[in-house]
Amino acid sequence: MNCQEIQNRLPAFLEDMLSPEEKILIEKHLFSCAVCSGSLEDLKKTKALLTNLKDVEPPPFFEQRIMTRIREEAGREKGLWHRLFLPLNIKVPIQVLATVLIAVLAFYVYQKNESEMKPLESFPGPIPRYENDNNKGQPSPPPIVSSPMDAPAQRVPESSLPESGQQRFTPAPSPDYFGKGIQSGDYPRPNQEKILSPPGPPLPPALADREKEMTSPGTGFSSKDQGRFQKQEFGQKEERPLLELKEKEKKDVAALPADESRKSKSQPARPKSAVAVLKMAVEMDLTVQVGEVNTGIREIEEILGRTGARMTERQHHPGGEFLRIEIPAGKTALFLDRLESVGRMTPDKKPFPIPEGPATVNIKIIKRP
Amino acid sequence: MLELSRSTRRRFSYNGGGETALPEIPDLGEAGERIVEDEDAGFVTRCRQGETEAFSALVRKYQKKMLNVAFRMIGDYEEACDVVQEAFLSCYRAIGKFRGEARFSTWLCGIVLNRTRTFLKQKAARRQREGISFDGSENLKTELFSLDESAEEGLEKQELENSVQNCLGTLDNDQREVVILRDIQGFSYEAIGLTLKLPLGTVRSRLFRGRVALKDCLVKKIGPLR
Repeated sequence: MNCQEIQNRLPAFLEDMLSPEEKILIEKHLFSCAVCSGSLEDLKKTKALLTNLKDVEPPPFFEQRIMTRIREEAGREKGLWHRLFLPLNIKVPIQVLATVLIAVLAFYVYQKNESEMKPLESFPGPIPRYENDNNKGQPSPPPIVSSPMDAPAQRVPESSLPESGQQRFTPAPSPDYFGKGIQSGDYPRPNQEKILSPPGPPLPPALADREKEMTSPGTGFSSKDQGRFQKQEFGQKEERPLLELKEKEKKDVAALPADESRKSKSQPARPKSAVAVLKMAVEMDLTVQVGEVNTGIREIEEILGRTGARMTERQHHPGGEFLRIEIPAGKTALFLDRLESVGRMTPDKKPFPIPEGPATVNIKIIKRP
Repeated sequence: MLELSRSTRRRFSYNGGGETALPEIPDLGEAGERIVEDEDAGFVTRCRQGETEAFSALVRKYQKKMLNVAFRMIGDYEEACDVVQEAFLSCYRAIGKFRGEARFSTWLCGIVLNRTRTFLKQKAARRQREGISFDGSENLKTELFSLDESAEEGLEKQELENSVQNCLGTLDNDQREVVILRDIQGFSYEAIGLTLKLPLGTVRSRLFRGRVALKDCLVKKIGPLR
């Protein structure tokens, strides 16, 4: 072994970790080599220096400083958050919590709003609009003439009526709109009585003519009938505040079995109860203007024979005839089709949807002016 | 005899190559499931039951030892204080994981060394970014050593200790850890192996190389020591 190898083994030699043979070999070499023996002395001295290095003392209040931090840490651990989540040993990111919270809130708000909006969805018929001021006083369009469903809608529960994308979120007409004498039975109007009163606000010419025609003494109808037809002609319903409608809807839902009620909540489509109601008897009020009243009545009697309907009431009035006709289930559409050929039918549109069940039609037959 | 010496070399060489990075909290996996007798076991149990004041006793007992380990590793008193403080905090947080397979002091020392190593890495990276050379010894606080001896003797001793500290700073971290634990703190080879999670052969090889390197540094700095 050369000096380098000997010096590399000196630490092990000092620790007495070499084999006896190696130990003897190194001892012999150290006896004859001053450099290696000097190196051994230096190594011993180095170890002594390290061992005798003076310890540094901790700074004052070092323990207190550490324990202050420890107590803060312990205090935090005992907090509510840690008690709730630390045992699970799951670190839930705050973003996940926020997302879940928003999702839950959104679902809750959606559910709540959905139930409040159902009465609005059930309003039948298109909502007349007068958006163009230039059309003031012009005969067209005739927004006053409400849809044919307006009249029957009085008797059909609102929940059973069709949902229309247009109708669903259309806002109620503005007070200005009503101020022009345009009436819609679809919305409760605070000034409805004023509009219905004889010296009411001016109507557009077409509407005014029609109103005059319907309310003129020449028709010969009783004042009761006149009032009835006048109301129905303009598609007006009895005043029903939204609150009342909501209550009615609630009653409808409450009348269902509990499980069905739950289903109807979860299904945005037409509720089951609505389908049932459509199949029930509904009543429509129509006015038919004919050239000759008697001819018109004969034609209607023919239609009765073809459709299986029957006349349950007939009243004669100086201005025309009043017929009450009961139509069997499934024949209403056919009956209305035929009736269109008899004369000008008002409301001049078929009600939609056509009732599936039996229907009763009150027809006022008047002579065309 | 030649065969034996070769096998010794091979063993040192093998162990040196098998060194692994230390875990954040010493795992003491080689200790198996054996439970050692520990005079601190009572305090540790109370700490695990949430008794904060029991930890205070452990801090009081080991603060000086841990501070000296950190100080000899870092060479800066203030920085060593910060590192030890953080190490005690880590120890408190992880005391639930301490399974008693080694002594508490051994486990705590491992935490301090891990913290020290992380600190030194961050410091070296910071200095590298700032373009400052670092030999681990320039911040030695000379005023920390007592001056109650005669001024000349004190100055001489202080100078010598500064040189030792400076030379310690020149060693590799691995060698420095072992030298400090063995020659300054007086740990047994087994305790060092448990603390650093190293085989005994690796501990020895690092220690012997560290001693030789330190001796060479000191001779170079202040001349022959004998």
